[in-house]
Amino acid sequence: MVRRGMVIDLSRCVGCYSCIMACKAKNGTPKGVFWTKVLEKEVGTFPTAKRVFWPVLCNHCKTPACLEVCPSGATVQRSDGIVTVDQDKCIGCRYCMQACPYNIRVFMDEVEGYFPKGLTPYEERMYGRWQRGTVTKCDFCADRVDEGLEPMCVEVCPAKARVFGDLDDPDSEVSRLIREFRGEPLLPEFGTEPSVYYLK
Amino acid sequence: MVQTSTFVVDFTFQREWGLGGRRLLIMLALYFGGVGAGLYLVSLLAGFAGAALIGVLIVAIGKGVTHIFFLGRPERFWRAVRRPNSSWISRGFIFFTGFVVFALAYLLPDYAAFSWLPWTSQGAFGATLLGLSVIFAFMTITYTGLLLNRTAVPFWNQSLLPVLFLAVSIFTGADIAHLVYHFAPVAGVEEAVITQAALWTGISTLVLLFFYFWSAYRVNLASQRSVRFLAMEGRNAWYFFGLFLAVGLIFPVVVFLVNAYGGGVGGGLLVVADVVEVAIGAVMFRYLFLRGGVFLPIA
Repeated sequence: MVRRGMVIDLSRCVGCYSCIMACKAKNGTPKGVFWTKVLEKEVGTFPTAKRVFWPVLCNHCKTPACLEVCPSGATVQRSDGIVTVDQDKCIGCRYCMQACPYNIRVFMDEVEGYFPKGLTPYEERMYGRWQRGTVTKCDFCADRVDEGLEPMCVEVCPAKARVFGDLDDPDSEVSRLIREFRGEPLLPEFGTEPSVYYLK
Repeated sequence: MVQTSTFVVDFTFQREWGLGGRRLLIMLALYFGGVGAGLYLVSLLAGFAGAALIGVLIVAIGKGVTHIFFLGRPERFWRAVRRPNSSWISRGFIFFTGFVVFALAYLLPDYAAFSWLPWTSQGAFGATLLGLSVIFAFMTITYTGLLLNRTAVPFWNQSLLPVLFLAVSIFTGADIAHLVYHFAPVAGVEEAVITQAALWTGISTLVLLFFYFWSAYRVNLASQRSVRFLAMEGRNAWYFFGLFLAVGLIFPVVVFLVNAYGGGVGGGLLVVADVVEVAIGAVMFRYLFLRGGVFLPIA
């Protein structure tokens, strides 16, 4: 059985935001919709205070809270663990957003472009797939994964801070990194068993 | 500090339920569902069939309409019933529908326009409808607390929440029943039952609120943050202590207490207490609970 997962090495992330830009370019998400974000956190105190970058995205949990609470069947989990949202079924109740401890889902109130004079040709082409009034989120670039490729955020990361692979394969790079560098998921106390691990 | 930018690791307020614009409709849905079903239960207890019907209509129209128009895709509302095995929204849909159907089926045969119905509110079938409507009324009130229990917002994750929703809803329902009785008295209705229900559920609400906030402060930092935000910070503290607690809850409870055990108060003051609780206390209760929802920081 394959279980797709990701390892993010925080010591490698330089905060360049190329993952965010690549995600937006590949998926054509509207203004204000970010499937991946790079959060910042100040750690330590003067004179040793420093800023840490914390890339976040949907954790594609093994037991997703969003899947459990979704009343319409819009949120589904594939056999490889990737959690997706079917916009045609989403009713926009936003229960999934309240249930997700990682607060990473986005409600598309409006589908707006980035420029004041209307949509660009690229936006016109890409925005046609979005339905306002529904919830969206990262799908681990499922279409690319099905073609044997890596998610865009992994492919473009210049520091190789993100590694994608099979968590169920003990010989995969993600499993090795988690094992050797004691990778930890976010907020494990919620019991969702995230598929994204962080190396600190 | 609470997050002001979406790109900082910090405590984050939930923004999707109850805050501004169409998002406020979910708060109204919780309100109408609670007070309508509460009114139904108290009215049945007091033998006040007219007020019970008003309660059912508040739930059917008030909760039904606000819930549907809160949705991002209202035309797909029927899909909300598809996962009753795991989702409290699906279960709530069933409880709400069941309550409206069973309560109307129980009440309507007593009206001349519906005398053609092949059953009455008396007899075994009527008693079955009554029992089912009462069970579904309780579930319509309490499922909202259970629904909030299943979120990632620690402030909402306490088992007292459904009980608190029950107490507040019956309190407000009793106030509405009292108002209806004041302006349209009906022979045979036990007013004392209504005022006693209002008094004791009002006192229960205050006690439950104290324990809720006391325990929420000790759950974790996010829950503590919610309590501090609601009860200790500037304008929110004024809303919480002034508008919600003092005006919306304590004032009506004191009026009912004096009325019951202190020699009685004027009918006008009782009406003011009713209106204040219904229009301020019960609304602010839902608003503040939704407003105070804070997620834990991811790290």
